[in-house]
Amino acid sequence: MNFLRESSAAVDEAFLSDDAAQACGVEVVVKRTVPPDMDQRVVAAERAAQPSPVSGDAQSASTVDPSRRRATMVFVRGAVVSLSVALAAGLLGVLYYIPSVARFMQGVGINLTSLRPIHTTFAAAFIFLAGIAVVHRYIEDIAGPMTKAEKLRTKAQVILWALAGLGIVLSLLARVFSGREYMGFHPIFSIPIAIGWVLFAWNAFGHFRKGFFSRPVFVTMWTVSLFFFFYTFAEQHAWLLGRVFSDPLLDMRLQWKATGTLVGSFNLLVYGSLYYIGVKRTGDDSLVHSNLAYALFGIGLLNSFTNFGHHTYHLPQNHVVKWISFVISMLEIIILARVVWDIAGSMRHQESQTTPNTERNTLDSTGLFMEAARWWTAWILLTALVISVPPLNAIIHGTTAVMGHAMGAEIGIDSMILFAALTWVVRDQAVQRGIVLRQLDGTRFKRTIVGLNVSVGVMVGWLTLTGVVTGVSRYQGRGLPDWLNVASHPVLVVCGIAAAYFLGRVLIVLATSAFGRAWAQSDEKPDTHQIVQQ
Amino acid sequence: MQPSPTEEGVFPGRFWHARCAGRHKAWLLLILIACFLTQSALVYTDHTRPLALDPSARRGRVLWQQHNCQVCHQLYGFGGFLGPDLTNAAGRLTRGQLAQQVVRGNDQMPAFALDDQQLDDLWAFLLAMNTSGQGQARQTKLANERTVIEQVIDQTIEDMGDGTGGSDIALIRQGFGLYRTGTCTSCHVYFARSAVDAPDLSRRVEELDKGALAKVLAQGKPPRMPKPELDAGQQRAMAAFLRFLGNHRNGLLNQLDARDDQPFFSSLPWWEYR
Repeated sequence: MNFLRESSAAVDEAFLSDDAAQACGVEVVVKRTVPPDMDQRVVAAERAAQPSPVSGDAQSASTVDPSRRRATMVFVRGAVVSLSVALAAGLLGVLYYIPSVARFMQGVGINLTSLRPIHTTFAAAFIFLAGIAVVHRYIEDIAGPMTKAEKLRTKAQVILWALAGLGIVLSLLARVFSGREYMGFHPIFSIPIAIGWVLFAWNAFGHFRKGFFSRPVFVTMWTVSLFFFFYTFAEQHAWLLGRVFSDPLLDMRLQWKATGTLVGSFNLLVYGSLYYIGVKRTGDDSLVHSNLAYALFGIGLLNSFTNFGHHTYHLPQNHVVKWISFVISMLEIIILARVVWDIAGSMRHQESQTTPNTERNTLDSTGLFMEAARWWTAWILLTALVISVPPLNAIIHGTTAVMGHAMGAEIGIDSMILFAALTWVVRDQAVQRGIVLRQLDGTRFKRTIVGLNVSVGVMVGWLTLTGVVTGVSRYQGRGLPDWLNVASHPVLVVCGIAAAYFLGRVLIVLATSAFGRAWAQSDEKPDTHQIVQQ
Repeated sequence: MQPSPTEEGVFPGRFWHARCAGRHKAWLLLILIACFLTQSALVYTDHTRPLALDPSARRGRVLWQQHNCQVCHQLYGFGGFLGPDLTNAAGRLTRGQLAQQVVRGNDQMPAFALDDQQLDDLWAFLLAMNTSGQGQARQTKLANERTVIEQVIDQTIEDMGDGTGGSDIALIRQGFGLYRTGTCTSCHVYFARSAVDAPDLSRRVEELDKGALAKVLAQGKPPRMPKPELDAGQQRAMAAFLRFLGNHRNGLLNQLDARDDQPFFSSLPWWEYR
């Protein structure tokens, strides 16, 4: 609670004088209560917030249409809310693994059958919404004021998705399911989701298509994501066809393909965000126009629509599909590692140029998240390489190693990249409006980031280890070693609680940074982050 | 010559850092679209082991989705991890065992109020899945070889019956019958810890004294193991069988190893599943 109070106080403090003065009908200068050692970072952030000349028409920070900034922040807030719902459902779901607690929860009507689809739906929603927020931030760089039609489409998209989200939660709690993985809600809710995506694609591509082939690689990635999503979203509903539903093996092949490509669609948003944030922070956009970047994009996309195969080695299917999956899995993950290492290295170089000597090696929270994503990528790539080899895949199939790998990929890579993106976007938006958000770069938040990564890392490591031991024991026809069962519960409980605690703190910082009166007040005065005293 | 991000072209030795030309981007996208369409065609036209569900199995599949069984269970590894993979469940359970498990539930599995017709439909669906292929490596193969293992156990009990201890043998035989037709095999497998973490009973029984074993058979082992529905006589028979299993563990395993159709693996093929 102290942490929450301090975070809120930090936000309010910046506007204390403004509130009091407005109550008296007098305009005052908004004091920037920025510590001296933060000045350089604010300067650097403002400089980085200036659009790159190759990205398109430049807009000055003080003249960006407030509607565009509001749109960006709406999706930031939506992402924070989605992740909070996913975390709550996930926490309750994890408790189901404790039999005595499961019995109690069943008794009060809380079932895992409802919790898990809520968790997976809103975890995916977080990734999409955060990625869309970054896309909107980029559109601020390249577009003029929002037209009425664009505003209408954006509002309609937000309303449709908000209603869909509410409907999904209520229907799942009422035990109305589709029974599918990832798309566990009733298919009726797919309609507003699809319409909302059409509206978003209309807006976004309306800006991207001008000079499309001269734009950076992240624009290409986002554009492909826009269209890729339609196809894969439709494919997710193939089971509604009688012929598909009546053949479970065909359905499962299609379902894995569609799920793999849906993940590919949101990964394009995530990795595009990674590129964009990297460019904005370093000011170096040579990478995002290079042959290397496009080669990486090509291999990444190729992998997106083939690598579902390494989840289906065990399904009766055409061996050509399996071989394609294996070969391309090997290629893509090696190349992706290169991207993250390059960006992080470039950022470190920039940080060392802008911070005082005594803080030469200090990263802000965005940098910390990106650094974490680099290490996670290295670990997940290594394990993915191993478990994509068919005989080894068979050994860990159906074990907790798969769970650990999925957690590492979604929390370790995607979420860390998106947290980096969200903290950057929020900080950038705040700087443009003269809002100070000290909690984003305070020591406490940095420790939270470290704690989150350590706790999730231990949990993922343990799940991987126990999965491998389980698989090997089963392969050898032996029973599981006793230490596995004795140690598992304490390790998972401790790490799970720690991870939930730190993730909750991250959410609180993001929520207190993204919500608040300060944003509404600044929206009224888009050009005046310095108000002249009268 | 250093490549500049604003210039197009190929710079010797610095190709990867040079700016990608617009026409190359267009070609890249076209190639990727072509690859995607090819991959999609491969999947859509894949007729490997078509599995057409009959009407009863189809209704069973509808029930599976309506009750969201995949949240906890898997089919071909697709689903949640709280419960076991049920792809080949029909190969190790009877219809009666399935019905008991579904209708009673346990701490972590809710009880489902399904009528006989619905249970028949669900059973038909799981039977169809069992014929479709092998959902799990290793563990399921072991469980699927339950028939072989039970044949060996049966034969060993027969051979013992030719010797001494007639009433003991009858008790062991009765216990064996209860074990393989009751709900024990829903969670336990022979000679290994199961996918739902139920212990290997042939090892476990050695750690329990007579009183402790009797207590487990009478009350179960909360919270994971429900109370077995056995009367006093059946509990004695089950205890006798479990002691037999523990005492003859090595001998039984040696017999299984010696068989040509032994269920334990000694090789690791490239493609586990065909």
